[in-house]
Amino acid sequence: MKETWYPSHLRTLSTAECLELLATASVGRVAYCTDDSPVVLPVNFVLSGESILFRTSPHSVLAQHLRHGRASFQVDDYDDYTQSGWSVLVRGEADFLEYDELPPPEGRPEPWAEGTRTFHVRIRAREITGRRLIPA
Amino acid sequence: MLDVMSTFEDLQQSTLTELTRRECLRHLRSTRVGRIVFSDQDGPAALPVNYRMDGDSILFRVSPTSDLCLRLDRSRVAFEVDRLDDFHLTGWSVLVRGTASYAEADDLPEHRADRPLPWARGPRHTYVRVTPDRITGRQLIDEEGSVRT
Repeated sequence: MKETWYPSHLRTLSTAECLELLATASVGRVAYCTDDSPVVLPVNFVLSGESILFRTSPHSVLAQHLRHGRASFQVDDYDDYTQSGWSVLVRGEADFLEYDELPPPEGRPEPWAEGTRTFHVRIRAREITGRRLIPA
Repeated sequence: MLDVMSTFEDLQQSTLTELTRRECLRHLRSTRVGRIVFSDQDGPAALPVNYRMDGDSILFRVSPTSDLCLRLDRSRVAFEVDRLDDFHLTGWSVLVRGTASYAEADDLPEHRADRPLPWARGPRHTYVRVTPDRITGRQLIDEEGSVRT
């Protein structure tokens, strides 16, 4: 197989396009730094303005590390067959929301996994970037 | 009404269990796209790449002039693959923690077909290898103990 067979085109997405794609997704990956290495975990989330909202347990490693601020959030969708897809990366700061800061109930994230996930985490975007891979 | 609905949703919740290393490697070997996670002065960042496994390590290609490439020279990274289904609320994810380094030509799989082939157009001549020191994974199972994706 030749390496130059049907390579796809990579195109940069605008912030508006990135937000549109974020609004269509229900699962993304939150990344944070530890002393040892960066770590990433999937969570289900909702988009609230330009912020990402999700829930975690107060005892989770996620809750412990996100206290320190910097975090990012990544969402993508791919098709293996046509080798195309898109990805969006939100870089910013994480914080915990107080009850009175939460959006109305229909706009709140509902965790898929069982357990007491009472912490609402917000990642406020400082930078939103995205790329789309268009089939040749 | 909303209280009733949220109680109902709580009943629908799935159970989170740990995967064994063997199960994690099986998922890594049967997946084509994962996310490389690195850090720079602005914190962590994650980008998708298509990859191949070479033994227990992860191999993918990047452009030698990319920002990503500069961040992967003997640095601590994470690599993640997952498959989650928002209808059944089940799925799995695998997290690899390790060190990224550039792979030289004599350190690549012998057969070209076993090497990663980038999807995107453009020269991506640099091979990056992630050598894992920890491989962990989780799965979300439904009340029958199944993962549906």
